Amino acid sequence: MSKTIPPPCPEPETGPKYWRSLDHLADTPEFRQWVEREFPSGAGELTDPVTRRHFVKIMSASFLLAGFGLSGCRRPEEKILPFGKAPENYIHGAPQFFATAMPTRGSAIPLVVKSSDGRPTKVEGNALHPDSNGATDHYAQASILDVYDPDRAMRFVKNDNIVKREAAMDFLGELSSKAQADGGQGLCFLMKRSSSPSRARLQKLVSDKFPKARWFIHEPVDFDVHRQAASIAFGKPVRPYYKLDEAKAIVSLDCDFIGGEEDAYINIRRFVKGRKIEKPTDTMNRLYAVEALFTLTGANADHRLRVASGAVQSVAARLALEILKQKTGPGELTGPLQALAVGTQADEKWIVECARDLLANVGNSLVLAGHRQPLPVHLIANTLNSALGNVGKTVVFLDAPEAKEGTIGDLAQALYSGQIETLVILGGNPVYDAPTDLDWAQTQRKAKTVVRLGYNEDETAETCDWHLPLAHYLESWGDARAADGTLVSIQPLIEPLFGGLSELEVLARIGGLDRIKPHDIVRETYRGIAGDGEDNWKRFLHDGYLPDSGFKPADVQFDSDAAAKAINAAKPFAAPTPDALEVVFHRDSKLDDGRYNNNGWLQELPDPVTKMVWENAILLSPKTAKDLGLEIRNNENNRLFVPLVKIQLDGREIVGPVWKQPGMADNVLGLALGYGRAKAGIVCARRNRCISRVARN
Amino acid sequence: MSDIFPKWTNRLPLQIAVGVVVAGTAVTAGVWYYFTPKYTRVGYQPIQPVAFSHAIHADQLGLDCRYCHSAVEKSWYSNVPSASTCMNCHSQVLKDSPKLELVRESAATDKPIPWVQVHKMPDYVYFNHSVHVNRGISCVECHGQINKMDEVYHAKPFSMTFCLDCHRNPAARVRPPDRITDLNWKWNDDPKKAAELQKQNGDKFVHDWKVQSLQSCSACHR
Repeated sequence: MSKTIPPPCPEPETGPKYWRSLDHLADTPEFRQWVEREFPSGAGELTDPVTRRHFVKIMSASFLLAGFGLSGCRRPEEKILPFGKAPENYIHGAPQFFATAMPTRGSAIPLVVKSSDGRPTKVEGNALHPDSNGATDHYAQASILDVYDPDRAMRFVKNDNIVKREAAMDFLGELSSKAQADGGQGLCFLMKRSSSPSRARLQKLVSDKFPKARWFIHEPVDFDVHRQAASIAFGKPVRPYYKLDEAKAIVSLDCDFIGGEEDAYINIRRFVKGRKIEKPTDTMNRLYAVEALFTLTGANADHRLRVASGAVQSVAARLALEILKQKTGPGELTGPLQALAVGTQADEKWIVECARDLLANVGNSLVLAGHRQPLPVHLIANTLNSALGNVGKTVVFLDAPEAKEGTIGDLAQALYSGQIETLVILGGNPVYDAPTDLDWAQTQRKAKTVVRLGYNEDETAETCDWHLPLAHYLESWGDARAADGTLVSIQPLIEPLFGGLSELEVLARIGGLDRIKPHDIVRETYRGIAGDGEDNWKRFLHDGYLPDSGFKPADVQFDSDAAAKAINAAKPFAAPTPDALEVVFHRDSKLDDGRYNNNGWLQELPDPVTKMVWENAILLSPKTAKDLGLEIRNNENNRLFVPLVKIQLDGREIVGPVWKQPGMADNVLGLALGYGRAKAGIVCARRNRCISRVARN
Repeated sequence: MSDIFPKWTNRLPLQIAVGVVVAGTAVTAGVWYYFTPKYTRVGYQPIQPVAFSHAIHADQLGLDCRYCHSAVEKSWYSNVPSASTCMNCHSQVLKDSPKLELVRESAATDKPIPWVQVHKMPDYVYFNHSVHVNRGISCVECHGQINKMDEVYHAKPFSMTFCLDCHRNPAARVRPPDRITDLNWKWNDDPKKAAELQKQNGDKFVHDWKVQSLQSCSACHR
């Protein structure tokens, strides 16, 4: 038995030759042999005499014998059980479609979800929504599987004992009356980011009622730096909103805007729109990418510069100097930029050419900085955009409320100083994804009572007093703001399968508010935004969004003093060496920050760059692997392989396999977030090669 | 030298041959007759929990099929009505009849009435009611004269050839769409004339309504 080998794809005789892996490029006889084998060496082959075939033979004989009894010949009597009272507008067998939205960190993806006989079965984008145009991303597509995750939290737990839902509700009521008595002394909330106006409204209501309650936000992958930088650079709370379709020259400073950034699903369409040629006179946009890892954006770039992640700021500073020199002349920014622009001599030509292209496209260019880059790089991007006259054209700034919540670091301090009695964790999995130096499992125990609303009984659940099941977004009422600020509705397609609660309901219960039903809360918020009226509300739910509710671009003025101050705070960067490697932690293209760890569809999805499935590896460039002596030849088949390696940092270590990724910057290690779970569901648990979690500061 | 075998053994081969032929014919005929849906399905008439008579409702009272089987034009599945549909009339007609005890209970408590399924497609066959009904195939073609049945029974074999006969020549079965649920309807009382009209109109309907009577395997076994 051998597999049918598809005929080789004929390689063009002229033009560029493409290859899929380093082995393919080398094209050794060993590689050819490997391609033709059905199973790679080392894969489990059935060598047992009881093979699958043999098993089927025996089984068919048993079925034949069973048939002699004619046991299958009796007609099974089946019942048809119709409704007693038929629900309105329900037709068995005909699917229904509902507009809703998937909340993301600071945004949302408008969706239309198919419901087959009362169960959500397929997610598609909401084509009515003017900004998203019916696009979704792979996370949204796969998120539906999480509704049916057999490992999701299904019960209310108090100190490892299952309790009734009512008992948990009573407990939240007690919390509320206690907080009412002392103004919320010692009560604090740890939340995820959210764009929900209802949550913001509840948060305000609760903090008005309990002025001493404290609020914290933790996101292991945080896109808030875009807002922070824009707010500093323009002196008011705003966030950038990119119009990539209008840009002719785009520079990405480690910004994977079509992959790992928020709202990438919109950026993809916009970016491609600028690349489409329909008439001979049309021109294409040009993309310059500066990055350390090899990302989708880098793969699509016309000109790509691979530098260590920390060196991006040097390149950005050098680029800014080049442009400011020709646009505005020396100013207060020149000094701080010059201090940063070190070690870029090798890439001088690239930077100068890039600057020339940007200057040729004044008002039509765009500079983006990625969420992994520190604040100064974002400020340089803002500086460049305003110097090039892009503000208001290719990038507009939308009002964004200032986040007043503390960080998880602040929370840890408060916990250690004994100020916190009750810690309420709404979503998230801090024991897994908080910075390791906080040792969160121990830290959260400094609170007397830890209440956690979570989707899985995971690492964080282990050290909680109360665990409440979180409802999936397809099971709960809510609202959110999409990328352009449009108000979108989140409506449930099914009752919470295990009586789960939404974040809104828990907040309202703890706050002791009048309205605790999430539907009523969302309705109330909507009333405040769009006014009363049943038709109005129904139209909102039907369309899934409120027309013209997007934010208008704010009138912004670049504040170069503030930018200079922030850029001045940055330290010049020392290039990494084989002895002092740089580590880049990146949002995984499948598991995000680990939230989709138990999602088989996403695990099965190949990584767009490495093509890896069900697996995770330490990424490094071929040269780095060579420098570190990691290239080892297997004596048996003469193929190259790389061993498991150990990475140590401050006494902590992780072990994992290495993957040589061409296109990465040298002396850089890429470590994906989201793997190495200590306690996760059955899908993840089957993968024993999850890289252990790493310190992240 | 005496014979080893008695004389009658001379006739044995012939007897065996005849025996094999007879037994073979019997087995073939038996399988042919008893193992086909014509025998196994046609005539199946389970006792239903409620003595509902289609003959009274559809024929005598003239209720349209779609009053109860309301989804037949919209879904692959033709629904069995909810008890509340029955109660639309039976809250006034025969409202205390002991025969309707189960219906009243179901409508009041939402506990379903356990009707016994009569027509059942195997799981490996896809059948869509709405597609057929909306293209001029009457209920009667597959279900027989339900309007004459007091207790529903399986009238047609539902074998593969039963489906294919029609799929190969839909023009012989299609009828005006407003006559789909009129199970007594004929083109004409004179069978000869009726056949003529069917022939005249059938091809036209098939063309005008774009009837695609698919015959590929995956049309049904998908």
